[in-house]
Amino acid sequence: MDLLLLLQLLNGLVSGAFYALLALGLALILSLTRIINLAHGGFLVVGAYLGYVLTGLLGFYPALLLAPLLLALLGVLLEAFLLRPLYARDPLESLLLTFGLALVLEEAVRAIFGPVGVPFRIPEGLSAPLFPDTPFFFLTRYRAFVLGMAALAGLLVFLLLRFTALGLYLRAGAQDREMLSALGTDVRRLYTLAFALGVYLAGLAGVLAAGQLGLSPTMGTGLLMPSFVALILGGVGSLGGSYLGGLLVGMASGLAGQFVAQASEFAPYIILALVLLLRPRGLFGQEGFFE
Amino acid sequence: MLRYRLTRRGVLRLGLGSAALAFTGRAQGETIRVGLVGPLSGVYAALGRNEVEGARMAVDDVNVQGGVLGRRLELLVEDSATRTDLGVQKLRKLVERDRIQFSLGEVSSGVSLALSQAAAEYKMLHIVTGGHADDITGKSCRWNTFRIPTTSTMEARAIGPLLAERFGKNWYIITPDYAYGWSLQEAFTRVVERLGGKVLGADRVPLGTSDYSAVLLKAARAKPDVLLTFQAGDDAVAILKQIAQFGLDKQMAIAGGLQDWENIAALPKEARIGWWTFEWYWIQPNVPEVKAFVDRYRRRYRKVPTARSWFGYAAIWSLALAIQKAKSLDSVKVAQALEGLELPRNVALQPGRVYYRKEDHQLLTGVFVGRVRQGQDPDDLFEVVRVVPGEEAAPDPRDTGCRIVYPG
Amino acid sequence: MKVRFALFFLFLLLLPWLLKALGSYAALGSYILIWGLAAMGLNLLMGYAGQVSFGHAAFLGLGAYGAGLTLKHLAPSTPLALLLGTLLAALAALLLGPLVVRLKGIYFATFTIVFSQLFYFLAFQWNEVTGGDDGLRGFARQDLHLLGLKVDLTASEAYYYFVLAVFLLLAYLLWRTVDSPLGRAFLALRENPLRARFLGLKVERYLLGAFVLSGAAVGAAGALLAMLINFAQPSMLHWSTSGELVMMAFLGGRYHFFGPLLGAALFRVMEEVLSSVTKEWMLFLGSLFILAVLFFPGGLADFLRRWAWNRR
Repeated sequence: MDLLLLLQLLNGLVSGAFYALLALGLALILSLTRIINLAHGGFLVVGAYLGYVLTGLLGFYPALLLAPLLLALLGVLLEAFLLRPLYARDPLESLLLTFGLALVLEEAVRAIFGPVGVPFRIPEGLSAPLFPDTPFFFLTRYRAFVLGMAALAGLLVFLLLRFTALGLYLRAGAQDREMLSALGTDVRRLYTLAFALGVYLAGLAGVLAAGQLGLSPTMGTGLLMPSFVALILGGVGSLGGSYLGGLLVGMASGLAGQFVAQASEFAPYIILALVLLLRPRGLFGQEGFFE
Repeated sequence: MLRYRLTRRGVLRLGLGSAALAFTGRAQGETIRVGLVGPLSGVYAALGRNEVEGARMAVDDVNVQGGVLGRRLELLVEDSATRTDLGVQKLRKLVERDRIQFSLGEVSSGVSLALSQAAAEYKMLHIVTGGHADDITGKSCRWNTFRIPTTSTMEARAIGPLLAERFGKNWYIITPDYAYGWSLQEAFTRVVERLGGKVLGADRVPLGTSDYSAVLLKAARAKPDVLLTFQAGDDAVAILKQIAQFGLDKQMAIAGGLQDWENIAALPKEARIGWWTFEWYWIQPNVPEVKAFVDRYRRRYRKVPTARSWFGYAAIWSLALAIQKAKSLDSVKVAQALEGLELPRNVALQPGRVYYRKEDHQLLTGVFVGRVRQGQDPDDLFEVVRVVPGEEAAPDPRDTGCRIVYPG
Repeated sequence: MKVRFALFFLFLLLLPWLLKALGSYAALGSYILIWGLAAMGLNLLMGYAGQVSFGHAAFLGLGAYGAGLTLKHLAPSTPLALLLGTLLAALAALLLGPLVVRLKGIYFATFTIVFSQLFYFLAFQWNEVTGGDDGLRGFARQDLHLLGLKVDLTASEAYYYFVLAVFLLLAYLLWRTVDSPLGRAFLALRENPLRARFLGLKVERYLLGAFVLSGAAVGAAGALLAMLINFAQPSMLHWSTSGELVMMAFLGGRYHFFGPLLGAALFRVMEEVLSSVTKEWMLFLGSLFILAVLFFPGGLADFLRRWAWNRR
């Protein structure tokens, strides 16, 4: 029984990897631009389809590298044209805009690639189980790869924030953008950058998800909700918290699913409800953020 | 920085211009108007569109042969986007504005039930072209409702014996956690237990689950002969991919109930596995009429017809034949003519006797049992092993809970 | 002002015939009024009290299922179905309210999604009562018995006038709320909750009031909807339906009383027209919405008012 629990935890960790990437992206965007990006799932889907197209042209690994970059570029464009005019306005409007954008992104993908979904192949080398003929058979190389990539991405973002000048600006902006602006920094460029980085992470999650879950226009919605839960669980305002929250939500879902199969869908919502009622700041949240 | 060329006025003019597409009425000559409400957008769009294509081809075929009772057949199509309220509204629009006399639809069971109920309010005949819930020709059956696709029970009774015989009688079930999934679980459990086998375990998984490793782990440990999965759509893609990735298909037989060609085509090649039931297939070497139909369809639409296309095709033809037989456009008379009506071979496009059963208005169509594999033609994804006749697969009509009552 | 009102009232009275003249159908009128009522109910919370809820579809669904279950199991009475559906929604709002109003901003919005999904799950899974995914069916709106007269509501036109009557009644009640000290308190909440609190307003209590009232209004709309199509389905409770309500209230103009009605009309008519023209109509609708947010944040009502003002 203990072994089964451990296996489910490991399973949950792999789901959690996606939530962590998405939640981190959401947190980056939120901390700097104060925008709740409801279109994050839409970006994931577009990134996944970009990955699909590029895999056909260049192969999986180049696609994995390139698709998120292209998506980030798209993000920059959209931020400039659609979101920038809204910074000065009522925050409800940017929320609604991202809501509309989510719809448009999903429908656009559906219009171009069809409603059913397209087959996505992962490289031969990654398909096999890592430890065949053991209880860990379900840990395929691909899943280990996903875990590895998520860890790498998390690490790189951490290093960026901690040890580079750019990271310093981003952290300062997250903490107090008015002050930063008063000190002479062009915060709007930071916003664009944060948005691009957040969208990049969504694109990365998208390509990875395509290999594991299958490509379809609706793949984003199922991943977005738990990521919001992770964002709030980790604490709005804390980037590391969101990442960790993602992993936790994944593991909690996996565990819950072990005991009551139906519960795995609901675990994120229950967690969210509990957090909101008992500790709205989440695990690592900062005071004054959004209150 | 960037400036907008668009001004408020420009956008508004654009918007008004587009919205100036007024509600246009449609010309009403001496035609027989059939309405089809289906999902042309949204998740089921691929299925809905194939259905429309099949129906359109049938309308042309009927009209080329001189129409029905000397009048042309006309098909009017509306999008339901798989939403019940929108679907019913569209049906009302088709009846009140376009004056349709008969209706067809939908892909989802829920919307199908709502449409059949709404059509009954207008005393209009309705043929269900996509809903699979047993209820439609079971507890919720109606005098005005006829159904073409198979039911969960039919699927289980068709494929169950084959699986038990070929692979064994210890089964494990993974099913989506809602009424449709439960009914499939029940149907298959009954079948295997009647054959002397048993269900080692069953897991109900929420719809939209993308990660099946937890349940697959449990299933693998149970070591069944057959692993049954009833997920549909995106969920089917996810679970089959993961089954293939874990190599489970090498340890046990993978099977289930209904599959759609459209879903298999969305799978990567290594996940195209398993034994399923199809409701119709385009390669049937023993039925010459099928090849002629497929060739015509391919030339017209540049793709192969699927079961959904056939549903649309058969529905229109069923109407045409019943109206001809009843010599009337009154829905009650046409309904009575449809009861027991046997589809001719060039409409049934399958072996055996295919007819509408009087007791519950279910079309006794064959269940195509087989396995997914890649054939010579890139569109050949399924190998039909046996076509189980509808009469054999369908349960006793007394067991369906259906009681048809005609309006007094 | 009175003239405008009278014209508007006349317009509503004649709507079924106007629609038919335009080549449409009468039931569309009921559809628009119902969604307009729902959007106006939501706007009590959103436009007046300033809180965005992505969960109001739960109340719509509760009203719908309440009405359907009443007709199916309790009594063949349309008014009773309407009443019980509304009460069910109001009750849910009353029970959830104290939890919800403790949260603000993004937390409030996220929590509304949570409870909305919980009710959706309930409708979807509780098969024996709700019919699950296949929906609640086997009921139909019944004749009205007014002062000894029997009014048959089966025809689309007849039901439209019933819906119109209910709509006008509830709109009047909403107007009285908004135009009262209570309504002013809501506005204070929207503009500056901190200041309102300093002024002695018990913010949570007023927010609860707004929440329950808006829930009841949306519930009534839900009951009317169920009786329009004689069906109730879980998708009515899905948070994407809530999203549509938010879009309608926004597009129509959330700072105007009848704005959301305009928004509902615009949204449903566009949906009606576009879906018959192109398969990618959702794409167009979404894009139009984005343009609206960028260029017309005050909504259609605001735009019309400015246009009327400029023409003086």
